[in-house]
Amino acid sequence: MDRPTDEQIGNWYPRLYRTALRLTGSPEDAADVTQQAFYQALGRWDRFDGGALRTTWLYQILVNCVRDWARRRMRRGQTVDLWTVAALPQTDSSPGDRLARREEVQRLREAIADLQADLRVAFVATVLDGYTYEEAAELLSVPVGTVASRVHGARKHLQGVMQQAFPEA
Amino acid sequence: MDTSEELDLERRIHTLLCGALDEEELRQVLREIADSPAAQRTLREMLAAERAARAAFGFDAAQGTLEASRAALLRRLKPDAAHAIRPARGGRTVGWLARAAAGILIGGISAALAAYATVRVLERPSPAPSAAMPMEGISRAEIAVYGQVWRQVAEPGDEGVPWLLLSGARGEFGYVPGEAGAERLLLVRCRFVGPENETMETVNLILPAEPGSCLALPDAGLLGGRPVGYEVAAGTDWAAVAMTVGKTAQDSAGVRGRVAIGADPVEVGQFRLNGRPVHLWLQVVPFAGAVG
Repeated sequence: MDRPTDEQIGNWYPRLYRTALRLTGSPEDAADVTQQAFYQALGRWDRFDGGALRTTWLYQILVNCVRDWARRRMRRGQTVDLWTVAALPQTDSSPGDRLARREEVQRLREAIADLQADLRVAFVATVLDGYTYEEAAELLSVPVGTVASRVHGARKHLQGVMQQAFPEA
Repeated sequence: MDTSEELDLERRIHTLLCGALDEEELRQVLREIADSPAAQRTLREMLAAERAARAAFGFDAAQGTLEASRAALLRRLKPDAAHAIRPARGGRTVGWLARAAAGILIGGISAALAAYATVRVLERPSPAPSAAMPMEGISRAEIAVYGQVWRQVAEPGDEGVPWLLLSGARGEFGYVPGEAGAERLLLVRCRFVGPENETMETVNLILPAEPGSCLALPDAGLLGGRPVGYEVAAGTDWAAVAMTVGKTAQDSAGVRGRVAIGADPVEVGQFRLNGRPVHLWLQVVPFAGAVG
């Protein structure tokens, strides 16, 4: 099995990093966990049997790395929710921006959290993490068309919520 | 467009945004977007949703860490795995092009900013340039790629003369006042190089260059999570560039340099970012010219 090119690694990296960021809520921890996942994957590159997309294989390795990370930090009995989104602190530049933007941000976060579970998961996998529909279909064990219609539904719902909340925006 | 066609278009646009289309698929999707207002609207909505959702959870603020950690991983893999990890081939251009092209199209659709203003420079004294450091010049192959992007999306219109910005993962496109068609074009490349000679960010700008003209772009990219501001002024045989990194007076640095058009890359200055020196290299070539 051919080893990956720098370009392939560079292309896969952001998706896996965003997944790690979403689960750890820390840019630095996400970087550590993602790099660790790549080292592990490269160490067993030849063991990939081609039965899945390479990205989803990498995703599984990443998730195991996140679980190890969580074991070291979480209380006993706590588990990692794979589709959770840990929000990072906002870094608005000007005080004038802050209030208006904070409201919008908060409303959008709530709207995403309130999405019907299957829509939310499809939206998180594709739009937030950046996996392709084909990759998301494998991750979620549903057909590609189902991912497409769920993401479409989620986006339209969020647009509606945001337009209703901020009609002037 | 019926529902299944709409969903299929969204799937292909999303793949475009992921940088995962092959060259042929990319051309098809770009053609479709260029020809169809409905496809343009879909692209705009999808990009807006992606940006808003990622910003809402602070993912945009982590972009600098993402880029730095990806570069660090690739760097660390090199010594041990150089024999096994092959250099990038054709796919590199396609992935980059896809993302840039989407940005360009959106930029075109929204008639992106055209700032034709006097040079404003937030400059801080920087140490003297370091000793010569090898940096590859702009190649014919790269010019061909930029030409492809230019032809696909930057057709002169009534709005004026187009300019095109292409940095690591983004592309923007706008107009400056003027009569389109007979303009002289320049390709300006600024490259930020870290202390280990690693490229941190490259910003390429294609712009019409008439003596005395100037283009100011306040948000031309990101370096270490900070916005990069970019201003270019052109003379008959020279071009001057001012780059700033950061937003506030307490948190920004800048470098200004002037080079001859058609010359080899030159290090025009350096500054410190998070305690580490960053060198700014500059090269300006005629866009239609021959550079080896």
